[in-house]
Amino acid sequence: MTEGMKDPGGQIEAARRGEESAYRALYQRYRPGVVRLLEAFGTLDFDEREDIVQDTFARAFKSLSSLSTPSSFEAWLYTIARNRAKSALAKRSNEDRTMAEFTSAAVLEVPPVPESLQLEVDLSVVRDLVARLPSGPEKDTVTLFYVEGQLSAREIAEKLGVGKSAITMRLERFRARVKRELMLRVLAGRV
Amino acid sequence: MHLDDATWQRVWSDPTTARPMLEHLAEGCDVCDAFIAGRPELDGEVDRLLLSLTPRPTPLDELGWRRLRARLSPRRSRPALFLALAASLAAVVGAGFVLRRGAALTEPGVKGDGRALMTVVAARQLPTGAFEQLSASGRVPRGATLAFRVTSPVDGPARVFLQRAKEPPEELAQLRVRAGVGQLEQENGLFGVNLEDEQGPVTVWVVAHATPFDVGKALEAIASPGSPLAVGRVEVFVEP
Repeated sequence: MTEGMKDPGGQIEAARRGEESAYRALYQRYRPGVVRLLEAFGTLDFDEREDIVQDTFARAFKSLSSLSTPSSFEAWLYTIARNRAKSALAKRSNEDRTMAEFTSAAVLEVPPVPESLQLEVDLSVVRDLVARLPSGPEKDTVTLFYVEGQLSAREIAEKLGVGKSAITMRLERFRARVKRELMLRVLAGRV
Repeated sequence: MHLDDATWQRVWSDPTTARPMLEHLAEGCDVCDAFIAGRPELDGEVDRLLLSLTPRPTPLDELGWRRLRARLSPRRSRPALFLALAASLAAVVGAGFVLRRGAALTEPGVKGDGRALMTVVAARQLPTGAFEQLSASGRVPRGATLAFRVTSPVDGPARVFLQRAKEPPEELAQLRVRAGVGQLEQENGLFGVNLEDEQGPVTVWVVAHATPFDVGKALEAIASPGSPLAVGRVEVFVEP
């Protein structure tokens, strides 16, 4: 087991104490996930993506004290990365500069994940959602990105011969399905 | 009954409220689906699940880690921002020492060179806010803040690095430069480097190109005179 593969909870506690080796281990462990998340944004270029990766980790490490439970670190990190990506895209397109600045400022005010969601949720639920998708462009896109997990949204766009934005929209649509299913399951467990 | 902010709060805090909402959601509702899609609370958890579908190797991105470490370290040189001082800087460094590629670097004071005719000159900001040309020796007091004027052959993105003696360059900022002569600027004004935590020889590198390039290419350009990227530098000596 490499240093980066050690118990993430322990690494997070060590990082809170300012131990550089813990920062390094967390960066090693979670960078691939953050990069993969950002690869779903087909319109982000390489430099923008790398900048957001850096920004995400810098902000997360500087705000570790605000994280209530170490077990939610990964989801919290991804939330920061997603917000940074949205902010960068909004700023670049200049469609709503005010919104971009608001998002940027509020990025660390991530609402706490409900405790019930911090349980390990069986991945078979998500796999089942993929399987139940009707054959077509959305299923092809989701399978290429999340199941096979090799191509970026840009590469999938080239492979399928559609625009980058179309791929991002398909992935976002599927994320919405997963989010709804997740909420249903959590609520079902509470009533 | 549809989900809204108030209902959302109640659902999570009061299980008895959740049952009828659960039945409603199970029937399928576009309005509620749209609301759920826009809520940020579940974003991270959904991403965690989806990204877990395909395990990924975790090789260390050493370059990225070094860059991140530089951002986290409190002792590192801090980029500084100057507002409304461009004119005075231009006046100062306009007559400064500007060396092009091929020029001998024996000229005292600020030195610049470039692989693609990029030149960089620096000026020191005084406590009054004005700028002062550096001394002939290139020595600056500890805590000095430098601003820069660039003569760039390209219009495009630029990366700025700071290099201490016997250490690799560390990235300080990503900016844009315009072709021709201009101050090094960031979004809200002039870009500067604070040397408060420095001592001894320090080099500030500026790397630019007409098209986007990553940090690895920039470091290659600093190390290799054959790079197509434009490179300029300024050398100073920070007094103890």
